Amino acid sequence: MAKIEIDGKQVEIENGRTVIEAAHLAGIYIPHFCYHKKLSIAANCRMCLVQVEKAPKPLPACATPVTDGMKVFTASEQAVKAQKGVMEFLLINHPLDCPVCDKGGECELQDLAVGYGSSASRYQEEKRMVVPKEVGPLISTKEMSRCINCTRCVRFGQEIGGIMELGQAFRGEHAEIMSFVSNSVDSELSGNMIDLCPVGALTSKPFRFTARAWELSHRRSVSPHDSLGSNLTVQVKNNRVMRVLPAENEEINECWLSDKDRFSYEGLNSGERLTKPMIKQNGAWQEVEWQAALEYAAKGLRQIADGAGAEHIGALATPHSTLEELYLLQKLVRSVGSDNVDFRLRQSDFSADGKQAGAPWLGMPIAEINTRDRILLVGSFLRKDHPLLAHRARDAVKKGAQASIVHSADDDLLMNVANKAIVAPDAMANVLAQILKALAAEKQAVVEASVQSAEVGSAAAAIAKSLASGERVAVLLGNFAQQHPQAAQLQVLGQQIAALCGGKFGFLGEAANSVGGHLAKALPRANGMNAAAMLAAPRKAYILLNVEAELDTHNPQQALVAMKAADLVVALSAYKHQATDYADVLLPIAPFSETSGTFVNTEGRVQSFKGAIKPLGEARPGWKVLRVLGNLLNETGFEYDTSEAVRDEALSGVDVAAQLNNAVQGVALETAGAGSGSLQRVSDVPIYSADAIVRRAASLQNTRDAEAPCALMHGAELSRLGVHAGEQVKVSQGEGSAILVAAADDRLPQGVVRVAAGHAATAGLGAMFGAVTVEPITGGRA
Amino acid sequence: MEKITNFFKTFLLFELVKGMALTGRYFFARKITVQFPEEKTPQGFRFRGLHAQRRYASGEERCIGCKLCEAVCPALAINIETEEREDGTRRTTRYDIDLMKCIFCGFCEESCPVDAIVETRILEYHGEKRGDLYYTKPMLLAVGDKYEEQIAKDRAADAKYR
Amino acid sequence: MGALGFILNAEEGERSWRLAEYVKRGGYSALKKIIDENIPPENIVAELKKSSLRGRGGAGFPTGLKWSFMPRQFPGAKYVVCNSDEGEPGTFKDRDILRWNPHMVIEGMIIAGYAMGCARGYNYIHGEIWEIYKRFEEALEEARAAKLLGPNILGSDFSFELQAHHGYGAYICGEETALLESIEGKKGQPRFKPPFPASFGLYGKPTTINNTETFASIPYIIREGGQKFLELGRPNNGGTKLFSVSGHVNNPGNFEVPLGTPFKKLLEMAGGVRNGHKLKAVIPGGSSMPVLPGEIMMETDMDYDSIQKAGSYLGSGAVIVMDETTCMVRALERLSYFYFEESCGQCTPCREGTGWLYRVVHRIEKGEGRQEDLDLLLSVCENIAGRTICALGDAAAWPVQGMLKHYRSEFEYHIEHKRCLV
Repeated sequence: MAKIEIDGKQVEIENGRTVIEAAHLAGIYIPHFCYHKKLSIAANCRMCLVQVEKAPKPLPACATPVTDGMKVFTASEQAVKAQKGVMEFLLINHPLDCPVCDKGGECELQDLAVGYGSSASRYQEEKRMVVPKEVGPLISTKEMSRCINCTRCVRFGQEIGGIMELGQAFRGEHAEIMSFVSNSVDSELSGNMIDLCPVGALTSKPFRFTARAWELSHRRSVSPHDSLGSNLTVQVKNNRVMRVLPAENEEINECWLSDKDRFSYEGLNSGERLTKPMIKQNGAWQEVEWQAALEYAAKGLRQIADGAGAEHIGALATPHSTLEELYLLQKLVRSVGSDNVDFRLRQSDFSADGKQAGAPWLGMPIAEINTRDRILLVGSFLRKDHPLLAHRARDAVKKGAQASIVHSADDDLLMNVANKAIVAPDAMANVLAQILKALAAEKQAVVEASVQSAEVGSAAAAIAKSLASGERVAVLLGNFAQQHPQAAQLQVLGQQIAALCGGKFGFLGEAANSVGGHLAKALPRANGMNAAAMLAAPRKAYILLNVEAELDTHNPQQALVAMKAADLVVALSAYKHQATDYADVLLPIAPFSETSGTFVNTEGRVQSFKGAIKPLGEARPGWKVLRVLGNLLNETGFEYDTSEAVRDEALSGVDVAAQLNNAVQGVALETAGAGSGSLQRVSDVPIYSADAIVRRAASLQNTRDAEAPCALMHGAELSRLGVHAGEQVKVSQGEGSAILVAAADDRLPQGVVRVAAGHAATAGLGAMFGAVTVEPITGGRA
Repeated sequence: MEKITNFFKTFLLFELVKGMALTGRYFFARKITVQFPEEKTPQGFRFRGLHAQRRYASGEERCIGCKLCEAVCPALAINIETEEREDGTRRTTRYDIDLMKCIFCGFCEESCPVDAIVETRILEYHGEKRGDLYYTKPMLLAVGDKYEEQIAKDRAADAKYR
Repeated sequence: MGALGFILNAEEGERSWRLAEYVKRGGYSALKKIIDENIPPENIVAELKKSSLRGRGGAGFPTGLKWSFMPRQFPGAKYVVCNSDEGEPGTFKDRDILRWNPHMVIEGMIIAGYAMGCARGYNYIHGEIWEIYKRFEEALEEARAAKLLGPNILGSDFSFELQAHHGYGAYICGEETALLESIEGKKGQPRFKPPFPASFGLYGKPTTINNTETFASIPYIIREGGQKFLELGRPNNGGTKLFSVSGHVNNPGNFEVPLGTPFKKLLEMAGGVRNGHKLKAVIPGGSSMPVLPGEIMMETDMDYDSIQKAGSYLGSGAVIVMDETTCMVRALERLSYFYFEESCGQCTPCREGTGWLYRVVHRIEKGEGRQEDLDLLLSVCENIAGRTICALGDAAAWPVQGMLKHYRSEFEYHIEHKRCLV
């Protein structure tokens, strides 16, 4: 510890920290631009120059380490003179066009110029001009002349994003920030560069010029997308969400936000929003009053319950729904006598149901990922499914952790991966068994006979060796592993691997409320049907909560058949969508920004939020709609006044921490290797197709991550089919097919074709896994 | 003594004489009544009357949608909405001034970095319904177009004091 | 030829730089002596301290002291780097040392590697002297073939590998930390110090960086002893030094003279001021140092301390001579342009300030100056100097301050009459 004195205040701080950190500890503000607590120190803006006793020159507070007995003066004559001098330099080439600038009102340079700038400029020469460049649909660099070259964006790319997409080219006064030769900025974390920019050089394209900072009201909320539960500041004006910024929470999203969380708000203002209840009568849709729509739905459900039987009613919800909605949905369905309710729409293997000890979760606090020294990722498109968890894993790797992956695709995670086993989906369980066997050998432990029969390959051996040498191991199952037809097998194997290393085992939850759905009991008990069963054996009536059947389910083909065959489909949705084909009642409900609710994130943190704005048009919060539907069905126990009352009932007597448990008992291992021989499908859910809101976020849909899905295959597979990359192929699965462009990806294992799910172009196909055929289309060059 | 003075004042109609003297004085003094609307008082170049939106000589509207006038308006009379125009500049899609709310303080023109919103010398405008005095962007621009010459002259006269 | 023989006379022939010729002149005997006598590294550093050899690159930091900063017990690699990125206007000594005597530098670097326990060295050669880079590579090949470089040098258990690396001509890469960045393959931008290269240098390892001439002085010191080297010059200013005399002299070139030689004598060696003109001003240490009027220089001796007393710095020993026909405004404009062009753009005062200085001086030169510009220039200089990451900011500010100190009247004349005084 070093004791130093800043402006007469005594501060005690560990050695090795810098003066600026000590000053912040003492509550003293030192002006700065390039310094950022989460980035490396560049010391290039020189704004934080302070006077240090015995130093002949002013020193930059951000880069000067503290030494015991140091005396620092942040506002002495020497310091202020230096700071004012730097401010003058920063301003000479900075356009003084604050009224035009989108950053005006929240600009660090503007703020500090008030304190350190002079009222008139002594610079009367020509100003520097930077030619604007195009870097993609999210970030505008139209006003690069405003750049003060602090390089925060560059350092963010290198250190947090994992990829340096912006860099400083040229030198001296000609230095400018640009992307590499007209490349766009495609990182899924790119929006943070806008926040980091202390001036108006990088601005948000979707938000650009639509409002000024001081007009916006700030409302706290929670991200409804991935399972991280990022904290949001939703900024609204005139009952419209104008933009979304991160709310700092060191334990969850730190000060970052993924682009999905940041720009998805455009989907909230989409023209596709459903604003009036609608009923289909004689094949035509009619807008009706709430009363009529709800009575129609209630009557229809009551008729089916009384007639064919309550078990003919099925309820499906997306895991992006709030805890309150999920709770009321299951309560409603159960109150009419059915047990068919599920939110795990993309899951295909339910053999672990009833054998789980609790709700599957991350297995550790989110912040602990950074401290792991061995990470085994099983079946995860980590960067796209969990952008900020990927950043935490990257941080762990940077600190020396070894990452290993077992997966059916080898997308660049932008970090060093020590070992990888890239195999076809049906071989994944076998690879885990190999790792388990090799690990058991290292640890001198005994494993089951079925595991013993696996033949350990070199990749598995290397992974086992890496895991065995770790002290803080994490085995994490990604979305792909959870959607896998052998998900239960993967879970058992992962659990045993983690147990052998004495490490943590967890699931990277798929959606905002993947844990919450379990707590809300929105899944079948003993005799109910799960999501897959409900669709495989069509029900007479369905209640859909936020579900788009062809995009949100594991097997869209089956889902659509079931929907079309049903007598009554009640769709609660924020959007008009394909449900118009098969639904009978459309009830407009409010997305997360317009309702209060609760999400339970993957580490089991219960986060409630209030509505940021009033619901659009006639839309109403989902919990209210379900509550009234309950009343209309003459059921008791639906007399809630607030969503908090629903939440409290849902969680009453529930010890959330005790409910979180990844253990599974009584699943028999079958780890035989691959063998089908036919081409297998590997599906990812593209980052901007994952839920209803992002699918309608216009700017995100223009990014490279949202490009139309291709049929990706290994080059050898392409030549076996006689197809060239870029040609169109017909991909068939079950009854349906899709015409896609074939593309080569030699990082895929052979024998698989990667076709994205959750996208309209592939909605005609069947399950996310399984056998597919690919045929060339003659003369089908795209 | 007092009684005696009052007695004489009463009988000699002293108050009457005093009153008539005042009347007489003003009867012959220079008249200051202005015969509005035939006659008008002189106006300074800083007169704060009806608002106008100005254009540049090229016809391009001056307003850049910075919303400083909206922010500074103490009566919350200004309402602005903006968007990015095709050429990448910010322009208003809506610029309303509710003259019923306006207190003619002149802060809006003072805050305007491009001299877009100005107050003209016009004071004899009227509305027949309340809504008539809710001025929208086209109305404000029309005022500006009509009186640009006078506005420009007034700005020039004021320039050296700013 | 001076005592150290940095540069050889032309009559010694084109082949004089070859290994065989160098050995004939006593080359590599210092290295042999160290290996044969198994001299402990501490003694070498002590000898250097005794010699009071000061860094020849510009800052004049005592070399022995610098070497002693290297952590002795450090697990892992340590590096010794030679800075031959000579880009300062007026300086052209290192290229001649490398052209005529590359082995002297190689020997010096090997000794440095031995003294500091480094197994690897790099010589970063300026990008605009390609043929010298090629020659140095050839010299390295010769040394490797003769087992003077590589594993087990001269049969001992000391191994040292040396490689040449050429830059692309950026002046900033002559700054030691920018040079390290450049060797690492990154954009040449200075690093913030601390940490200094001695603790966190090339690839994050302890590194010592010295100028070419410094390394070239090492063999003599080892061979003849530090005391003898010191006696060549003056106390605290040991040895001889190469001076690159350029500008308005009859016989410009490199001259090796003992430190402490009067400027008058150096000027004589360079053939005096051209065409019998009068001496007006001298920049004694390369373009980044303040200018001194001729009268002052004629009274000054060429060593670190004397020049500092006169108000400038010895720097790299580049003596730029200007006669009475020189327009100081024009001269300053050229200098300012150089620093404007060569600023790396990393930190604010230098990135923005150098352009400002140049533009104002340029305006004055064009006859569009204003009287208040001169105070503006001084104020801008004050805001640049000492506020930047590296010394380029100082280097841009000092010439302006020096010029205005001694020739302010000439600038004022220029502003008033819109033309040169001369």
